Formats: sequence, structure tokens, C-alpha cells
Amino acid sequence: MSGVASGLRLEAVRVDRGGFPVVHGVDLVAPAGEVTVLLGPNGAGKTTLMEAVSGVVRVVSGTVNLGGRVLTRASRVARVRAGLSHVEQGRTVFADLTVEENLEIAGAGGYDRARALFPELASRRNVRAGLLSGGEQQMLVLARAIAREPAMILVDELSLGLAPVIVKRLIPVVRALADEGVGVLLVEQFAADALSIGDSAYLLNRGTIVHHGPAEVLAEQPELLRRAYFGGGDEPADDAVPAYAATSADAAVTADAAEAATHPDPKRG
Amino acid sequence: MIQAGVSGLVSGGVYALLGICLVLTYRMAGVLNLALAAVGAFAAFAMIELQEEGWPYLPAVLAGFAVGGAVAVVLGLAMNRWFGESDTPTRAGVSIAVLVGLLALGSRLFGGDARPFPAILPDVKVRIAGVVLTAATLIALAASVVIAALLTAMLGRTRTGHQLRAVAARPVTAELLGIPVRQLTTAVWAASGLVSTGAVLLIAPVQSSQFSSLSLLVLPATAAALLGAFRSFWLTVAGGIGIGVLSSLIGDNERIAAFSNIIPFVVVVVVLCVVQRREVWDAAR
Repeated sequence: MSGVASGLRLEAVRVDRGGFPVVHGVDLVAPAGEVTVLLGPNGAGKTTLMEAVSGVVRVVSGTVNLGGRVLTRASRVARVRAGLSHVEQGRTVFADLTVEENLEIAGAGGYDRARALFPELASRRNVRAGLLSGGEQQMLVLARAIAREPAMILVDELSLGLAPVIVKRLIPVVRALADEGVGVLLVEQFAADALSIGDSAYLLNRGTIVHHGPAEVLAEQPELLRRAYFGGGDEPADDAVPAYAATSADAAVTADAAEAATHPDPKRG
Repeated sequence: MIQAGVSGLVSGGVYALLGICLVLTYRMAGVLNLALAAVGAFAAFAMIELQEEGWPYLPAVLAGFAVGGAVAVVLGLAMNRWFGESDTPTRAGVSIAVLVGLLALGSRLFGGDARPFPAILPDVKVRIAGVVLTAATLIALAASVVIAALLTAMLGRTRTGHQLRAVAARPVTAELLGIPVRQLTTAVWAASGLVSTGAVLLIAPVQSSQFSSLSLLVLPATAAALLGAFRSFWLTVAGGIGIGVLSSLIGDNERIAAFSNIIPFVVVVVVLCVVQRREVWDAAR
């Protein structure tokens, strides 16, 4: 598959946090032109793995390879120049700068494309990013990442703290990016939403990949997810509808409460 | 009376220049750099030493600036390397440790006595409406105004300025967008070192020029930066000049002359009281 060669390939990646191993020996392939979904319970190591790919945290052992280039020890800026883009958790806009300035500082050739994908931002271009709604901020963060014309984009919890209607707006954009040839690695709390646009999926638990396969298989077999989240073969109580299997729409009723509860620290997600 | 106020303009301009540097590193690198003037003093004394070694004037001055820029960059890189994740009070504490270290090193290398500094500018005096202004005064005032204007325009309107503000707000996110964070931060520290060196070289010939007293010029500069709320370059310049003039006016009056040096502290206390009072009101609402 030509996409694999130009995509992201992780081999036996191990990452520590505070001296403790958080991700052990992960092998993962996220080809260009595909959405690869990474699922797992809280604390599984999803964010840590993404941060290791973009260079926020150090890889202890193993290799990170993007489009045939080994980036394991490259600086963060070198990884960006190699075509990597990391959309962090928590709507990391530069609150003090306007929408236009947020795009301009990242800017490369993809500026117009980013704006075309989010026409909503056009009327807000001179507004300071800190004054935007949560949905607009997340659009801006995505647009900013797209403006750099990445070959590979890592998206961490796109839906965090956002209303379901916004999530429904953003998820197809991620798919559209992949259809244009960009590789996408997507971490998402709403598993069903993510799997609906995904090509393949990985399940991460306690720092290890416990399942890997086509996204639609996982979408059709939620018990695989459940096993990964709860470990072993134990079935949870029948009436428990785990949040991971839900879509953003199921969460609509409690969206406000969720937004209040998960509202990220505006300084650093 | 007027001449006394005017003679305070040179120190006022120097406080303003140092204050601008304090605001710059505070806003862009998150460091209240209390070792700022000590870095400038170190560079100025290095220049004097080179001159005494027989270096011609201009190369010695340029070498002094190079030393100031380099020491500031080393300080900035060290801050970034070891205290990048620390909070602002911790980094301010580190800068005090650096100040104490530089004071010790300076007195060891250069001695504790005042050194005769050659005026870096020709002894030109300009007479405006019966008031005499020295070249150093004009340069200090003009430099502080020009640098404040340039920095305000750059941070507000240029791409590099926006990148600097992005780096200040979210360094990791900025780096993940490919912004060359390390180069930008290094440039900020280098600029602060160069301006600080220039400020010390301007004032050293006209006031007591021990290493320690020059290093402690950071105190009135901090008061000036506080008047600018560690944010506005213009208010910092106004604050620096105001403190310089006020100190000079008080120094001119024999009965209260002894109090002229406490002006910066009075300013700090008053500003802090006003700011804290506002915060108490905010908290009460």
C-alpha cells in the first residue's frame, strides 16, 4: 500500500512518564489518506503516545518513522517540517491573538484551504481567539494545523468539552482531510463517532495495543471495546451503557454538564 | 529646580531602558530578570578591562556589547533548560541567585571600587530654552522611546511579534506549529543583554560606578516596569523617566535629599497597594 510508505509507522515504541513506563512496545501504522482511530480508557497512554510522536515527550526506545524518515530523536520543529501536525487536547488557541493572527503564525501554503474548510471563521477573523466559542476555538485549532499542509495530523480528543452539534460538524472535516491524502491519527472519547469515519482502529490499554483491525469491525462488535476497556472477559452489568461506545448525540442531554466538568484549563490542556 | 529635574532625565532614560528589558523578558520568556543590570554592569566592566589591556575604544565597546548579549543568552538558555517548567516566582528567585552570583564574581574580577568610565559619547551639550541637556541624556531618552515604539509595533503588527506572543502564551503549542521557539527566545535574551549593556554604559560615566551600584540599577527599573504593569512599554518608559526626575528633584532639596534613593521603593509600595486593593475588591464581588 503506497499510503503506508508515506504515513506514520511506530515500531516497539516505549515512553516513560516520571520514570514509569506508560507506553510499552507499541507497533502502529497510520497510512496516508486514512483515518486511524486510537481508542482506549483514560490513562491508557493515548495522549502520551501522541506526544511521543510529536516530540513533546521523549521516546525511550523504538522508532518513530514518518514517510520513510526516522524522527525518533528529531526536535519538535524538525518533526513539523517533516510534515507532522499535532492538535493537542483542550483547544489550544493563542487567546491573546486574533483568529487571523493565529492562522498567520502557523501559516504556510495551506492558509486558503484552512479558511475554505471553516467558512465560519471568516466573519470572526479579527476577533481575539479567547473570545470565540468553544466550537469556534476548536475549528481554529484544526484550521491552524491544516494551514501548515501536514502530511500526517494527530488529533487528540477533538470533542472534549464541545456540544454534540459541533462534534458532528468537525468529524467530517477530519474525514475530508484523509480523503485529500493526509494521514490522520485520531484519539476520540466518542468511539462510535470516530469509528464511523475511521479506516482502521487500534485499542490501547495500559500502554499496550490489545486489538487492531478495520474500524467497521470494531464498530459492529462493541464487546471488543468493552473487553479492552474493562480488561479480561468480564461483561459489565447489562444496563450499563459505557460512555466509550456512545456517540456524541447520545451525550447531548448531558452535554452541558460534561462541558462544565471537562472544561480544559485555558492555559495548558 | 528645572535644571535639577532635567539632570534626572539621564538616569530616568536609563531606568526606562532597563525597565523595557524587564518587561520584555517577563512577557516573552516569563522571567522577572533581576540580574539584568548586573549583566550590563558585567559587560561594561569587561569593556573597561579590555581598554586597560590596550584595546582601542571602539573594539572594546563592541566586545562589551558582545559580552552583555552572550551572558544574557547563556542566562536565558539556562533558565529555559533547568527552569522551563517552573513557575514565575521560582524563576524570579533564580534570577536573584544569579544577581548575587554576578555581584560576587564582579567584585572578585573587577574589585569593589568605582572605576573611571570614559564617556562613550562626545561631551556635547544642547541648550534648549535655557536648560542644558547632555548627549547622554538625549541618547537615553531617544533610545528608550524608539525601542518602546519598535517593540510595541513589532509585537502588535509583525508576524515575528505574533510568534513571540504565541511562544510566551503556549511554548509547547507554538513549537508544535513549527515556530522556532529556541531561536526567538534566544533573540529576546540577547536583545535584553545588549540594551542593558548600552544603558549601563550610558549612566556609568555620570554616577557612582561600582559594580554593585550599577547592578542595583535594576531596582528603580523594576519600579518603572511595575508602573507599566509589566506589560506596557510606554508606561514603563514614562515610569522610568518619572522616577529619575523625581529622585533628582528630591536630591536637589537639601532638607530631603537623603530620601531621594527611596523613591523607587515608595513607587513599588504605592503601586502594589493600589493593585492589591483592586484585587481585594474583585475577590469581594
